[in-house]
Amino acid sequence: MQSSLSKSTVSALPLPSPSSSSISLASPLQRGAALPSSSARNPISLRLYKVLGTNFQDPTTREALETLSSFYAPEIATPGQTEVGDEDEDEGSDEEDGDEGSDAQPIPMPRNEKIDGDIAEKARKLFRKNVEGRLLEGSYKFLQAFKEVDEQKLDVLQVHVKDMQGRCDEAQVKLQATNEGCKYLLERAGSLQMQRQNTIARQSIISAFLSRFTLTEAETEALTSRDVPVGRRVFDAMDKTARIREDCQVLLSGDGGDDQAGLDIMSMTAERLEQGYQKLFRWCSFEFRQLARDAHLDVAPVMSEAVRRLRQRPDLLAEALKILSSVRQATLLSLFLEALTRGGPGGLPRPIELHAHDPMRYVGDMLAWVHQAMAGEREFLDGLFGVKDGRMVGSIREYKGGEVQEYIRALMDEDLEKLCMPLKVRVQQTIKSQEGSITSYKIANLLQFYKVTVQGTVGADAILSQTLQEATEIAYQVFFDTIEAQGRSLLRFLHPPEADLSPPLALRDTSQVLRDIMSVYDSSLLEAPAQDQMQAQILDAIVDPALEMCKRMFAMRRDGTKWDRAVFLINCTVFLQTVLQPYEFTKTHVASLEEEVNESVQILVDEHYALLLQESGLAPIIESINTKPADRPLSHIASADSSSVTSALSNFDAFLSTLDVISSPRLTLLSVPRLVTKVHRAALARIGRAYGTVCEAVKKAENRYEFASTLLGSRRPFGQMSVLWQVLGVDEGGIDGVADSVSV
Amino acid sequence: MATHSGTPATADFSSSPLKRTKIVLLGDQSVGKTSLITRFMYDTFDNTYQATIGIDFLSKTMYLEDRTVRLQLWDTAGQERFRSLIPSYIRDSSVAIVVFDITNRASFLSTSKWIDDVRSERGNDVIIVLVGNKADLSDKRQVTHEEATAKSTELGIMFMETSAKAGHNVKSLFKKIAMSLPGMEKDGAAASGAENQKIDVKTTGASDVPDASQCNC
Ligand SMILES: Nc1nc2c(ncn2[C@@H]2O[C@H](COP(=O)(O)OP(=O)(O)OP(=O)(O)O)[C@@H](O)[C@H]2O)c(=O)[nH]1
Ligand SMILES: [Mg+2]
Repeated sequence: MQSSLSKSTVSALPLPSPSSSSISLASPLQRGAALPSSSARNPISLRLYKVLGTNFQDPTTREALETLSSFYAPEIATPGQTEVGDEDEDEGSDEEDGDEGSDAQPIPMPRNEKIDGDIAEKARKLFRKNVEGRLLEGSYKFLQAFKEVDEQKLDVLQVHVKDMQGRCDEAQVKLQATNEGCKYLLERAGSLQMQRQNTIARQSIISAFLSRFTLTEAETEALTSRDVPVGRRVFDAMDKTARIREDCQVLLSGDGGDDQAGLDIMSMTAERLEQGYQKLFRWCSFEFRQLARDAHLDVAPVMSEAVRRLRQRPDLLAEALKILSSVRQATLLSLFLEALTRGGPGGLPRPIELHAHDPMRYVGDMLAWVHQAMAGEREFLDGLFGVKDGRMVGSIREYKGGEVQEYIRALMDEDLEKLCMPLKVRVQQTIKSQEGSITSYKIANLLQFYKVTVQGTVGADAILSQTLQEATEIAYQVFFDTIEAQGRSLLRFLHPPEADLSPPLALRDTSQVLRDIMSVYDSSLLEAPAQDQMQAQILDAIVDPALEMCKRMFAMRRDGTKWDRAVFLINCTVFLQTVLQPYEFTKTHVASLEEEVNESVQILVDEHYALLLQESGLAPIIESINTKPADRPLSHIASADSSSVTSALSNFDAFLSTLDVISSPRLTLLSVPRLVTKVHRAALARIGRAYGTVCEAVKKAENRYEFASTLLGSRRPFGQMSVLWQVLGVDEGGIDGVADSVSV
Repeated sequence: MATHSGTPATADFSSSPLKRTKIVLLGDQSVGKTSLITRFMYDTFDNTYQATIGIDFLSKTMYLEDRTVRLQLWDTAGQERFRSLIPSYIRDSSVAIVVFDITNRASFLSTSKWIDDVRSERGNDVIIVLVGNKADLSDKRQVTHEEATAKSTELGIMFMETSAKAGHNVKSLFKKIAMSLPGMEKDGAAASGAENQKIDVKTTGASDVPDASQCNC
């Protein structure tokens, strides 16, 4: 269209230009509309301007022009047609309707070769007629076409419409039926929808249930597979299993219904949980076997956690712990033997047996090693069972009881058990190989100390405590055996006392032993109460045989007088006393020895007095006083008549003038000056009393002495007791009791 | 069973067991051995003196920046009558803390005996720390910081003044010991290792003395 338009525009319609003299085209419409009011100027130029000013560019105009141009296309025109066309008159456009069908001829168009002006002219003349003719022709064609429609096509249409009507009805019926059918389907779909909703809800409930009541694959694996190491994951899985079982228990305890699922869960989880415990058990057993290397080990958290959990299965735990204790037993034993024989790497610390020559060090090292092993074991077990040791240093560990404490107690006991035998054997050997009693006493002391120490950690019933108890007893037994043997040998090799009645050599040896024992006691590792009874026993075992020995020794003396015996016993007893005296705990023994001494002192006093009485000359008179019949006056008895009394008194005077009031040659063998004085004075006091008795007897009328006062007054002390006491240097008071009084 | 051998390395339970270090405290009666332990363990102090009877132990885990150590502390009795027992404990200890009382010259002189005991049992395979306790009683001081330092330098051991009463330097004492411990793998090393250790001790000891005096009480 575009191309034809431009072509026709170029070729058939020369563009109006100001130089063109001809007025080529002007549609009647344009002419009428474009007519401006004429001005005073030349009408032609006005018209020209107007024509030239007319704008043909707007689409409507162009379309109109195009249509027109097709009317007068030069190619189409034929000579004949041209003639017909010539007759057309220029008429008004309002006559269109009246001329319908009169002119069916195409509009004659001037040929291209012909002059354009010719076509334009024709167009001007025939334009109206041509247009009307074409309209007519169109109308005619239209009628022609519709005539056909009216006659045939409408009937057909009618038939078609009727047909359609029928089909529509049919469709309506079918639709109705389908609707009926669909209603059921819809209902069903609805109910299915509901069902689906329910199912989804159930599904989420079930999956929640499942996640709550079943183990995931990973969790099951953690419990059952060896590939999952014991640790957090396994513990979590066990926790979950346990929780499931708890929850399930709650469900099952609710009202009846179908318990099958619950029971299934219970049996399933029971199995899994058991597998978990089995796994822990196997792991612990394995790990415990690895604890063979070291004396000082610590516990990894995972292990104490595993043990804590296994406490829920005491049988399994007990079995695992059995492995542990046998491993520890063997380990400690081999470490002990290593410490004994091999020592540390590079020679330090030295092997304990290197000190075997020094029994205290040797036994001390062994006991200290065991003590430290015990401490390490205790610490290890505290760690294994998660126990905190919050006691103060030095305070005794209290055994509080309870499940864990009981486990620890039992394990401690077992772990250390195997050490007991080699320890005991070595200690026993050491004790038995000792010559002197002192070393066995010291070892006994050391053992007892460790027994007390160990008891503080493992309790008195532990095998180790028992072993130390036994060893202690053995050591004391050996000690007592030794001192008893010493005692027996004292009695076996007796010699009579020396002439000077001094303590015999054997007694001096015994005293040295006694001294040593008491100095050990004094620096004892043990606290006093535990020790005092032991000490009394020791004293009995040493002191009694020693005294017995002295007595038997004296008995061997053929000419042994009572006097010498008393002196000898006093010398020996006092010697023992001085050994014991410095120690507080010997008080009772010192006191009982004092009694022995006093007995002998009494003997000496009696004897000494009797001899002094002879020497004083008063003896015959005293004799007469004591033996005279009651009804005879004393002066009538021959040995006590006036002259006898006179000579006795003069003898007494002489006796007094030579008397040594401090001591007596008789008492020189008594090695204790204090007792010499004591015996002498007591005897002198009794002499004084004897003189008093004589004076009283002489003065008594019934004894019928003449000039009694002259008789007494002729010789010193002239019958005056106070004078006599002065001479004797003895106080009047306490005369009778003087022998008992140590202080006189 | 073979699959189980690698098991203990697990997430939350991954820490491996600790090696223990035995430390023995030595020194005359009433210099404050028990008090130092009590301060370290429970951060408390008791003025009343109760002589230790025999030998006892306590353990504590110390967490330091780069290591965690478990210390087993052996408290000994200073009383003469227990003296014969103590070498048996020195025998198995890798650290000896020899304590004296700065207000008691005799207790300072005794430290020589104690150190001799340690050397005779352990040779050089031991860390020795000389500790002058009761530093809070400076008005009654009978041993100067200088002479104690001189002694420790001469003997190639560490020195520190502490006060169990005031709590001064007690933590640092044990911390210093923990830091001087040879690496955990070195525990069973032979004599040659012990030589190295001696050098370690010396250098640490020398450089640490001024340190200790700075935080003096
Ligand atoms: N002022 C002061 N007193 C202290 C200090 N340390 C300890 N004491 C006191 O010194 C006394 C002895 O302390 P302990 O710790 O029992 O001494 P020890 O060395 O264990 O004594 P033994 O067990 O007999 O060997 C106690 O009365 C303590 O209160 C200190 O740092 N300053
Ligand atoms: Mg103490």
